[in-house]
Amino acid sequence: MLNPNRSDKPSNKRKKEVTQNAEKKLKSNNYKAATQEELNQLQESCVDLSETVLSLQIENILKSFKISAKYEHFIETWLAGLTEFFGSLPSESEKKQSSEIKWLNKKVINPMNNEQFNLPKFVFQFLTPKSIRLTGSKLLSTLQSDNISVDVAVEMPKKCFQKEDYLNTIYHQKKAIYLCYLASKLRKWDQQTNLEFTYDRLDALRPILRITATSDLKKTITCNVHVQAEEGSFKLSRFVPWNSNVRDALFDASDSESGDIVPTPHHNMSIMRDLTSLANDNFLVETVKPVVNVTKGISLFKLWLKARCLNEDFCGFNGHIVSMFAAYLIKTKKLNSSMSVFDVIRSIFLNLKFSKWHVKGIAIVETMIPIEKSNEIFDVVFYDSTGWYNVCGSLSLDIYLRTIEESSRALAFLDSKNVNNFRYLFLQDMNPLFQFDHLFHITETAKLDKILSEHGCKSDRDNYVGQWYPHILKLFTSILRRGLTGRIHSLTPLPTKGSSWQVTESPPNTVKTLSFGIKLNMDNCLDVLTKGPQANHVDAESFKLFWGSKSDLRRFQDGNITESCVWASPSDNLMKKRLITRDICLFLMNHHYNIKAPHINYVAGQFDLAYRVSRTFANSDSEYENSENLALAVIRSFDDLAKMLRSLDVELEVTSVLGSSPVFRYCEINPVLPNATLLEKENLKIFQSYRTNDGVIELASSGKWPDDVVAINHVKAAFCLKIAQQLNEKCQLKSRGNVDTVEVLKDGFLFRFKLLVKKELALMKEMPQRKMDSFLMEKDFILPKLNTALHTLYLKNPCYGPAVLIAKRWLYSQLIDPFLWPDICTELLMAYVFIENKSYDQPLQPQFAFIRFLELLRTTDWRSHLVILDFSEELKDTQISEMENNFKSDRNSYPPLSIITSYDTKKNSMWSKLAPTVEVLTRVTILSNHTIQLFEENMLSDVFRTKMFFKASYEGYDVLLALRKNHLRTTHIYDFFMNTKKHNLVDKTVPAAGFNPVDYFLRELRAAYSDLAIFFYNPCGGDTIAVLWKPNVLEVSDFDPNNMNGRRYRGHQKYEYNLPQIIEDFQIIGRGLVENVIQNK
Amino acid sequence: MSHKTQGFTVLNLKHRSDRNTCHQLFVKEYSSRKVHTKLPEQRTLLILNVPPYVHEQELKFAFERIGEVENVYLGTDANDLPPMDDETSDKYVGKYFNTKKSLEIFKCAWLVFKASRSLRAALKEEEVVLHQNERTILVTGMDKWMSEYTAQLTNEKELEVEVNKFMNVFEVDEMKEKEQEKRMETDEDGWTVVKKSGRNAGFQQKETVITKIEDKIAARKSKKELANFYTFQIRESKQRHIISMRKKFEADKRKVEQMKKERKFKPLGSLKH
Repeated sequence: MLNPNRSDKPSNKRKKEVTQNAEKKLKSNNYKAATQEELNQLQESCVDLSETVLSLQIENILKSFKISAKYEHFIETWLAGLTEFFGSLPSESEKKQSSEIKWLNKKVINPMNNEQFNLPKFVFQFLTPKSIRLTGSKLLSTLQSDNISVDVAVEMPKKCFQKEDYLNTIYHQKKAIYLCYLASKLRKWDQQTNLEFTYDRLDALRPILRITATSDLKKTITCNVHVQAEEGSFKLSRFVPWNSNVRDALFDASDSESGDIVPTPHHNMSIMRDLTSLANDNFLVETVKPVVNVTKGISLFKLWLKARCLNEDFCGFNGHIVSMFAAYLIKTKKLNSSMSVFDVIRSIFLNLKFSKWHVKGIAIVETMIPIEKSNEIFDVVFYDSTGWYNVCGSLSLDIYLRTIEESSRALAFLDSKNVNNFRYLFLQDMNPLFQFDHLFHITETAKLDKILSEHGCKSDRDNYVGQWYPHILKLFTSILRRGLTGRIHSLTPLPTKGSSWQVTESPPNTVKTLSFGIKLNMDNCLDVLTKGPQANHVDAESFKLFWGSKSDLRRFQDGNITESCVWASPSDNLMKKRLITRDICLFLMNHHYNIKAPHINYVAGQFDLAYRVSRTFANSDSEYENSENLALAVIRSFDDLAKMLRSLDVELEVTSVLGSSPVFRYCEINPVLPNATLLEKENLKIFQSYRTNDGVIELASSGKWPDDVVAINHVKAAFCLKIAQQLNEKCQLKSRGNVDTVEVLKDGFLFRFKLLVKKELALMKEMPQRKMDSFLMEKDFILPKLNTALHTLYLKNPCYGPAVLIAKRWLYSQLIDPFLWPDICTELLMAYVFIENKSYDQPLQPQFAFIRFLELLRTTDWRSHLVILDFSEELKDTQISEMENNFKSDRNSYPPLSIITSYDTKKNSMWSKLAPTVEVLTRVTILSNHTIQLFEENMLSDVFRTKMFFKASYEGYDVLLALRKNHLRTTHIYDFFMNTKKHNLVDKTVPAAGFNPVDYFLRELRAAYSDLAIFFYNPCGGDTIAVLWKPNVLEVSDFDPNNMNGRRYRGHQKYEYNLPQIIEDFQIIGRGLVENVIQNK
Repeated sequence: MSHKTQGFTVLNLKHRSDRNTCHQLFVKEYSSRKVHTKLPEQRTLLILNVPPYVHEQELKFAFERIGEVENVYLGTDANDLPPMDDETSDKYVGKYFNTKKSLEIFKCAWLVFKASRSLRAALKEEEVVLHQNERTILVTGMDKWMSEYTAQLTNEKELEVEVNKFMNVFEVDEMKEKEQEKRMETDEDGWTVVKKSGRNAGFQQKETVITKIEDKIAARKSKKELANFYTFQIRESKQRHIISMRKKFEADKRKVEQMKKERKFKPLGSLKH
């Protein structure tokens, strides 16, 4: 170690270097002797910076959770009032038959829905509550300030219950009536403004009373009243999982006595929860509450669960489980009071990651119930502090597994030490839309009730006491999980939203719908085959039964003869194969439960339409079905051509031939059909093609290029002519050499190669007057490299290409064309979704990748965010932080949307330099927000309306220029709004390559009027150009020789824009193309 | 309605006889302190606000009615004067290598009349027209684009001829230049001229080039040196390490401060309820 007392010894040489005073001061600070303390601090912070930043962020979050003292105080006094009020309610003098309670259902309607029950008679008597106490998150101070709701437990005295009340839901009935009694009394209490019933976690057996407190505070404060039996009202051993406490007779009067007695673990746990509630609360207060950092960790963890929608619902990973788990960790010495919040949350993630509660449950104390046995009965097992109550009794296996999965991802984040990861962990809203690859929604029309009564078994009905949701979930997941084994990563039921209702109303009818999210397994989801057991195996019969007519005996190449189901042909395109999972789900639902496809809103492949070939041109061949497949043919042909080019005999060898058009990275939205031809007329070669596929040629380096740009241009032309000539003669390919390009026709595709010479770029950079040209040429050099990187990305995850196609089509149909929003920006941002978005796994369905793209647009603050795309992880951390620093300090030299890739690190976002502008960026942000909302609505509705997403609105524009249809290019892309008349107009002649009147028109309009207006157009079959004036067009100004463009005299020495004539200009410039001009006033 | 502002008068430019609206040209006699060889005084009309689709030909047509027009020059604005001598730049420019682009924007023009009386007449006019026999003379829209398209199609033979012609001229020029250079190697006072090529070639005095060379030299040096061999070296390297740690610490602190400022975290706000 250094001697801390050693005097400062900067070398003389260095001293000389220091010239400026300020610098001197800074340096001398750096060079002063280090004390031991400082050294320690430095070393620590080197290691732990990410942790310090993280804990700083954690602190900030926790601060925002904290309920202010004002609220705390209010809650305290209010609760005291409530306790006093409840405590002063006198007991009723006598017991009444349940059917004879007069007040019930008059002022307060019983929240229990007893329609399906055949309830036996029981007596009810209201007795003053045994105790009123705080429970839930407030008790442990893990309550979050965004939604202040306090849980209060009211204990019914033992005497309220008779001996056999545990049977057939009488216990629950009594609780409900007790609650009603409280509600009816509370109506006259002046400290409340609203009384509502709701179900505790959608559990229809557990109504709770929600009181809104009277207060003049900003946030509303609600209080949930839970009614519970006093501890010891029943013997706990009565509710062990294998006991039966619900008889068939409850559902069917005629069935009395005849039915088997089946165990009802879920019902039992419901009562057990109440009976152990006090003990557990005491236990938590004892173990968890004193350790402040643990309670903070619990809050944080709950936030994390909430962001992932894992804590909601009947079968969610609720806060109680979290608190219990934290207590368990304290008991097992995994957590202790000396840990920081960061350590706590990390430990929770870590222990959850390695937990296996579904295989072997855990328990806080020695249980009365053997764990192995419990694991047979429950999906997930975690016994509480009394050893009787399974805290995870209702937690669904799927949600548990997903929580584990997400935990391991979270752990990786925390350990990766990347400061920016924090937001992925706690701050990002993880809507189900963004987490899954497929979603499906079983609509109301499927009549889930009927399915339950037909397919559900009695034991489950008794067990769930007639509750449809967990019951049907069990039915469906068991089938789906079996059918999709291997293909999916996880199948998760999506939370349904609970509602609350006024106490004076009867409970609303629940809309019985169900949604699932599926995460595909990348390796197997495209398999066309579900292989079963060998034909002579014992399992063959059950396989056959499960798959019904789908199952067939097949003989494979290895000689095996097995039962198997075939879902698609191996030669089918990816678009079809991606939907195999959908087909299986639909088949299973139909086969097992007779739910037909129209009753299921399966959201997965709807947007695939956006890149399909129009029906008019579509070939029955699956290869020609969509733009993605068509690209393959172009790429093959290009590769052949590249080989030929490299073997040509030119003075300088052709060293590299690379593609630069989007088609070479599967991102070309317009289908490239092999229909290009060559027309020779009067010594001119005229290529005819819808699309030109661009590439670049580089020649072997040579020192002989002239030192003059004009001369280089001429030499380049000579090379182009030579290459074209050789292609004509040697390869028999029709080609033409131009000034700096070679055009070749091959396999019905037209290719155009630009000849690149590095020296020209270098010379051009030194010419200030040709800055723009050198900028464009630089793009020509880098684009092929990007193309290769993006092509590789597609090969790694073929979902990338179609996702870009959908995004492009979406932008186009919002009238945002490549001039306003360059295609490459879409491609790079989508690549960002695939490479850098670490909150999720890589998307495997283009549609959801597109939704995440929209989410990226919607949520990112482009002013402060720099998109850095690091293909193949080339960039060093220092480079990245340097780029970020430059970006922050010199924001204005970057465009509104800033993207830097690993190929253009020093170029201040070259791809988005010219566009989009702030206005367009804002517009796209708003549009993506709307689209996500639309998607959410559609997802939960009965039918998915795809058209709506690709429909442009022409409202709000100032001028509309309708174009003549006969001059519009035929688009081969699927038309969402196909009308039959247009159908007949389809022109089969191939146009001259590169000649598109609309492009010419737009180019001239934009060149001339960009200062005054923005022009919008949909390049995928749009027939109208929409014009929006810029806000400054109404400005009136004095005469200024430099600012007279487009103005006219309006008297009083003032000049205004000559809008009527400018609109007339549009018609002049577009003569022959513009059909008419519509002005919106 | 003729009126003047800063010496400019308004001149209506009618493109069709049956339309009420039209663009207004703002014209004035061109005068400048500097003499411009191409824009003679008293004969040159400065025109502002020339519409995008109007070029030399159209302006000539419009003003020919007033008096014979000698020449028309276009520029993006009033400061974008035509070059004084056009002979040199045109040397190599053929059909295919013309980098000049036509100005499809609002622009200004200098119109030179043959006689100065035409100029005075022009300043009194209220309207000039771009139509003849009820037909506009403007070539725009589909017609224009189609001819543009066919014009840019390459005729390989013509291109080859042009390239060869250029290369011949260029090679001759280059030879001459080289000879000149050889002669210039030492100038009259005996100083040697350092040029890009030749025996005594220098490098470009640019920052990037210089730093590159310096880095190279440093790298070469460091290869030869023994690191951390002498005690003072070890001491210095330790010191350097501390300095770098200090710097990093400062940078980190700043980073945290900035994050705080930006308030990147709004945990509850970002969630939907």
